[in-house]
Amino acid sequence: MDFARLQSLPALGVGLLLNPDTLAAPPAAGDCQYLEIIPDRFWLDAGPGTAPRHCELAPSVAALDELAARLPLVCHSIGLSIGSASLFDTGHLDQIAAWHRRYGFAWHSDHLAFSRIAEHGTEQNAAVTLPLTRDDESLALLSGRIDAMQQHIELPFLLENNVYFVVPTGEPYGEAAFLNELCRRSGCGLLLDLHNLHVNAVNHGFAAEALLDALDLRQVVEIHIAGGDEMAGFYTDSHAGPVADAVWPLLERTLRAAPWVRGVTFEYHESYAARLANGGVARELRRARTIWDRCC
Amino acid sequence: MTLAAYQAAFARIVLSPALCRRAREQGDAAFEGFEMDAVERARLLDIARQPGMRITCMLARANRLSSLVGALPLSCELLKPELSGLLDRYWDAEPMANLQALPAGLAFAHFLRAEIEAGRIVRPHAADVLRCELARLELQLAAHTGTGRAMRALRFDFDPAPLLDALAAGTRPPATLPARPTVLEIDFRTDPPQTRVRPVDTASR
Repeated sequence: MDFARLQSLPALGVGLLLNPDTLAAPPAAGDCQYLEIIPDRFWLDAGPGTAPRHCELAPSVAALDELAARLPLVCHSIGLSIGSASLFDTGHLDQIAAWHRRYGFAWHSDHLAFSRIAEHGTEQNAAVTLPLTRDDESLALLSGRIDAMQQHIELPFLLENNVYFVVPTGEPYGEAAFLNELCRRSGCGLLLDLHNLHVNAVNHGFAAEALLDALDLRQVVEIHIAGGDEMAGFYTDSHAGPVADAVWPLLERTLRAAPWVRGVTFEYHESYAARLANGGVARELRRARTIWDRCC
Repeated sequence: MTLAAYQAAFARIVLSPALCRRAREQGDAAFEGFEMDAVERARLLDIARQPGMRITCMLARANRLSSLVGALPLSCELLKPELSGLLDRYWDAEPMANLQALPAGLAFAHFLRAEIEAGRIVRPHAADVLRCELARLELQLAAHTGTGRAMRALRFDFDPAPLLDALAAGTRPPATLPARPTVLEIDFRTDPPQTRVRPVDTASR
């Protein structure tokens, strides 16, 4: 991990993940210091090997252009599936690189998981992000991919700790040890999703604080905060409105211990907008900002 | 390439509850054809038996379904009684690489149209509702991709408004619809888009 590079990144403060709801009615700049976008939601993707492959959604991109003139943007992609052994989508990277040239992202990130499978000339999507086995084979795969990405896009790249409901057995690394080793070998930073950590802690019966203590927090560049809800006996990362109560103390603890955090992003899913009516989004952003000011 | 085979088999048991059940009940035999090593095979069998597999499968199904329902809400409402079986057939035939609502919805609409034409969907008005939603998706695609904001006029020999309104409200459509030659106009030249129903004579003026 190149800590000097992380240190040189701008400290953005507290931001919001853009969704169709907030794209239509963005928060006031005083409450929100930056916006995180899921670029994949701004284009149609006809898939690898097609030309033209990416077709931008004109009305959404026009709205984004207006917001980008007012606030810094960071990029949080959902389409790479970096852990897929059967494919590495350089066309997706080309598109991210083109958007970085256009919007000047402070950094970009994706998920530490796999979802896309290429088999017999066709591709399918598991429709959920699936956990990688925490072993040296995965580390070698990911390090090679991250190295190729850094050649492609001259921008710090972060991986987000994933939610998992099943755990591959016989793993030589625990979660914190795997993340530490991955960052050390590959040079990527961490997008530490504290709600994902909380979800895993609840479902798998461990203390989130213990994982934080074992993690090298110098590699954390961005933090996600969010809420969730229950489904079929599990607690899920559904981004169901306000930040979960248990996440706030984790945020404070992490911000006090992690020296190079550059942004805290609040995420919610637009289908739960009603739970954040009457200024609820601004309220969550202000609460995060209070903690940021106290700790950073 | 055994890691690729392991991941393919992992995705397959997530997307196919039947295969997951087979893995739990029959063990190794479920993974015939996947060139995994012994450790990966044992790992996947263990995963198939973990309680978290159930919610993983549920979320995968919900995520795929929400793309389709988001794009074709009225057709999905009308076909609700047979939707589950239809989806299983569709997902067997179409791996659904793209979860974006617009392309996913268009692909599912074409599948439904083929099913209707082949007589495998016989529910009254399925073709009419699908025709409306397919036209809307095509117009939406054109508007979103900047290739043009257009209007489409669809002719019916009945008034489709009570049918579409009932489905939009999540209720069963009326048993009979007023027999009256009608044109349904879906107009994407305005923002927001508008849908109008007119008698044929008014629309043709």
